Amino acid sequence: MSLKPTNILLRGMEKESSATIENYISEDGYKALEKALKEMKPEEIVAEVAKARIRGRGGAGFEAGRKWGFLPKGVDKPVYLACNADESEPGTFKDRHIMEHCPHRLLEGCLLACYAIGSKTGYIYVRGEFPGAQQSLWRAIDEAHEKGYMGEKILGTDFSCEIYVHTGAGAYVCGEETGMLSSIEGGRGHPRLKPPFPAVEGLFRCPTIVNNVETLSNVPFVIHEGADAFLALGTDDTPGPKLFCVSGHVEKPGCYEFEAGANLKELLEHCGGVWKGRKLKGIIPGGASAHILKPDEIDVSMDFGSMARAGSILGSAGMIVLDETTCIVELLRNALEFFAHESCGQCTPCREGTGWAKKIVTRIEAGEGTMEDIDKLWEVADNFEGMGGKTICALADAAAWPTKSYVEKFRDEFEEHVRLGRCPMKG
Amino acid sequence: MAEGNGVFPPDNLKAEFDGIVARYPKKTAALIPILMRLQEEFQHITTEDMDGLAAYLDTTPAHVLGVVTFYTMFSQKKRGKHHIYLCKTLSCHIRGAEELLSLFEEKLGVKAHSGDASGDGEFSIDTGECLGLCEQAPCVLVDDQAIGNITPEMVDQIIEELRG
Ligand SMILES: Cc1cc2nc3c(=O)[nH]c(=O)nc-3n(C[C@H](O)[C@H](O)[C@H](O)COP(=O)(O)O)c2cc1C
Ligand code: SF4
Ligand code: FES
Repeated sequence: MSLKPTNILLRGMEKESSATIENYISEDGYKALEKALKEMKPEEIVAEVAKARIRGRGGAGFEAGRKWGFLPKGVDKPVYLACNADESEPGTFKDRHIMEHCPHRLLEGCLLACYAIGSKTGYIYVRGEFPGAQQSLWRAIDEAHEKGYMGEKILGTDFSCEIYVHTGAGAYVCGEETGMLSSIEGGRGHPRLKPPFPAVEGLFRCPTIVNNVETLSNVPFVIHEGADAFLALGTDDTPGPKLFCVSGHVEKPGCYEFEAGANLKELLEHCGGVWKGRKLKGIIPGGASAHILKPDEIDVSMDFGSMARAGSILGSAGMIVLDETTCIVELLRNALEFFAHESCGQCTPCREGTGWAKKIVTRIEAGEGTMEDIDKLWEVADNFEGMGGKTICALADAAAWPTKSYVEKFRDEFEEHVRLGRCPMKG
Repeated sequence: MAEGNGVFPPDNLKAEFDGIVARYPKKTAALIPILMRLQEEFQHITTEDMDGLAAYLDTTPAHVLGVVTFYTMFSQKKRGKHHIYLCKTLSCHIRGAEELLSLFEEKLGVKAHSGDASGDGEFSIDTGECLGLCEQAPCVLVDDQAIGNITPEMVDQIIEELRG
């Protein structure tokens, strides 16, 4: 599918006033909330969202409506919404764009979700490195209170709801949903074993729905325009609009909104192509965790299914473009420094394995590695790839995928480092 | 105690902290937001404040310490008045972050991850993981200001402006 621009998630972003409630209301903002509260029952909202098949934009692609349906019925405990705005997957900055430029769309999405799942309290977990997004959201929360869209008896109905911003303090693993819950509760960001899933036992041991910023920001459109309008966008695999984050060696880096399923190659062209007229070496398509794609592999539709068939992931849709001067060994060393630093240390294969892989690749980069080291590197990663329940969370997989794919697809570069005893790219 | 008067929370922050606690069904949930404010106000988290905060939130000093050491934005050593996070992750790395780091370190006279602040107490610097500003790589976060598309030529000017 080619590129089809949409103007939903970042609508009005080009205006100075995009973040204000006046602007949002002038663009039909909060109409979905009004419609929901006055004309729809909570289960009708869940049904509409399920019908739209909004796949989770946090990276895993799980359908939001199905997740909301997992809430246990008739439990005598409060239900919470926890919006994941940790956005720390390297190469990703779409949620920041929503929060800074269109905070009310997210708030309306949170309010609709809370109404649908029977929650009176939502927390938006924003990473500590996003002070601008936090300020933007707090301002929007104040405005929503003033206009009666938040607080007690919203729009004169019986629905009362508060949304709070909760700050993180620097830890990638807090983006993993259960790590985030541990962090909101005031602990180290340690992920927890699942089951129980958060929908059954989450925040403060109560049923909790966790959704990404972009996922929730789709909800107002689905309720206002209807699930069919949403399904008319994107692909059958991944309906709806989608934000793409483009960075690295590219002429026009930025956050772009297209229908899901945008063609990766065309997207690169849309962004002015590889910078400085250089040749493409590869693209990391879905954040640092994604398997790398070579230039002959990028004619692919950016939806969850197509990316999986292409041997990678849509993930967070953070595309990092690499030009011909990039040293893949150095890149992997950089990525593994990240993952080794961010492993929370609870599981031995992840803690030890990421550190070990980092050591091996550092050695190879310095020209001190052996051919066996290259196989070892792949094997170590294969071993900490958590499939089969060796680790609590998927951070270990996130580290394994780039490691294995860089070695598989650019093996000659690793070998050249060994043969030459130095980096061939650095003269 | 950062204020040195033995009372936690300090008078000027009490109302704010009580407000944070009121957002949650359990007091300990206020821990990280309050630590972030203390870090911002005093550039570090002192043992006295950890003890005071533990009592204030009905938790243990050991728990507070465990949290302080887990998150990279907290520091037990006093940082500079302006703390610079320089992103060194993929998109910034491939667009010149390393060169910027040596420039900042040289001009500020302070090393990343040393835990030290510059002699005048104005600056400290750490490398950080992806700051979510990759479209502006290479970039830094200083206090609550994001600065992107940094070229080596801009480093002097950035430092001058922060000095104010
Ligand atoms: C190591 C790791 C980091 C993650 N980081 C994020 C993140 O920063 N933001 C996010 O929304 N989801 C992140 N996720 C995915 C979440 O665990 C979860 O699937 C998501 O928040 C659910 O929301 P969604 O269904 O709306 O996508 C991460 C997962 C892992 C394993
Ligand atoms: S897989 Fe890694 S990050 Fe996840 S819980 Fe285990 S040690 Fe922590
Ligand atoms: S890689 Fe530097 S901000 Fe994302």
